[in-house]
Amino acid sequence: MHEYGLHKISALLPPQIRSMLSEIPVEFHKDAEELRLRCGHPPSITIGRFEYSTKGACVCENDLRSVIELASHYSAHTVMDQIRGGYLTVQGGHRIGLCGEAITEEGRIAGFRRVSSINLRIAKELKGIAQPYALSLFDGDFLSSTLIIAPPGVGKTTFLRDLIRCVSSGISGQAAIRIGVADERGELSGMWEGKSQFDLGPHTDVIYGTRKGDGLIILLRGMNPQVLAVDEITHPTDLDAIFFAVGCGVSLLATAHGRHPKEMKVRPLYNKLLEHGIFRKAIIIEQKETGERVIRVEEIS
Amino acid sequence: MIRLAGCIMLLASSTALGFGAANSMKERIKELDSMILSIRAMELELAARRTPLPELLKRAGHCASGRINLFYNLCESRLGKSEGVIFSEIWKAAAETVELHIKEQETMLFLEVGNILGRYDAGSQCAALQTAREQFAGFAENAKEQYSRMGRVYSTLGIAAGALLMIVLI
Repeated sequence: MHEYGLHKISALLPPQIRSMLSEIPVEFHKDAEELRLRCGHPPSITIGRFEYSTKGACVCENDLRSVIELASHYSAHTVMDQIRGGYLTVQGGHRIGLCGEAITEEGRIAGFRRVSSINLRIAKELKGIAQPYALSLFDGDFLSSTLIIAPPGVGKTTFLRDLIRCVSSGISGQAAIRIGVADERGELSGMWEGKSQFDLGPHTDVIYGTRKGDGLIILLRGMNPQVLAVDEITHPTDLDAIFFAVGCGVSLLATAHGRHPKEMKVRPLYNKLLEHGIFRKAIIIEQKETGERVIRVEEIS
Repeated sequence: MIRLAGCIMLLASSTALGFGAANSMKERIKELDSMILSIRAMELELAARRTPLPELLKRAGHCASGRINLFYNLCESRLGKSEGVIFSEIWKAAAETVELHIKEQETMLFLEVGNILGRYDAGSQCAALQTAREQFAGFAENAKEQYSRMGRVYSTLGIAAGALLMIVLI
């Protein structure tokens, strides 16, 4: 049976949560993008901008504990670094966001004393969504460095994942290109036990679990990529690696929260990248009220 | 003739009761020693390799014998088909199924180990396991001392009680 939406994550849920979700109309199951579990409230799912709550039983602390136990294969110690970062990437590439009472040590989060809510983001693989746009990113044989811009939850990562697959596989008239992916949180590849859960193409090398900046340098040193890809540049230390990579003649594919390149200039990190002309093109993804996505490619001047 | 047969049966059952009591003490020592070894193995695995729980249970099982080995095997197989049950419940249910010879206080400590495993970072789990292991070592020492003192007494008492009954009945 083809698995989609809520079906994809059912193995991660304890029976009591699964029975709570049986209240949700079946037609919503397919399109569910997130499952939200908040202590003391019934579970809810998000579809686009809407959040649909069940009316019955409430989620308790033990339910949340069960989800984390199942997601970590009963081995929290193997995913502690991720938990400290407030998330957990699980089998299938899905991501669990964690919230609650944090424990801090020397000003840094060391873990959670109590988890009060969980956001289970259901990973999607939409093969072919980037194909109509991929060719327009080429300047001759050279892939222009491109920034994919969209508000949270609109599909930047899903788009980038398919763009990587297209470029790595070779699209009409273009030769296949070697891509190095610095996948800090495992969202692009859904890496699990050494294997990518998503199709990123035959010429893609993934470094997972390390900071993007470090990952990019390791890829440059060891894998000789023609293109580098990262999801959400958020840390100033990543910039040095990006400047270094682009200086070596390697193109960059990246994503950013936002609506338009002009808006990005307000954020110091992206302002620096745009000022230095790192990105030549932008792919802007918008979501209409109806939930429909509009995608367009723009030149960045 | 019937009286003699009855007396022999009484002697045999009384002896068996005595030996059974002594044997139960022996089994308790074996289980405690097995627990100490398996907990030590888990500590080392966690510290060195941050081994995931299913593999950790397998390794602990290899270091254990008798019912403790059975216990770990049961835990590991139930973990594979847990369907969302939290680990401490799996651990508790396995301990109940296997029916260990250890005493109530020791059982409580053993169940507490199930509340620790897989829940915290490796360092915290190691520290908690070390504390549990040291407590089990204390229990094992007591059990050995008790056995050396009472083990023969139980066996002898069993035979003596049977013999006494035989004399009274004959």
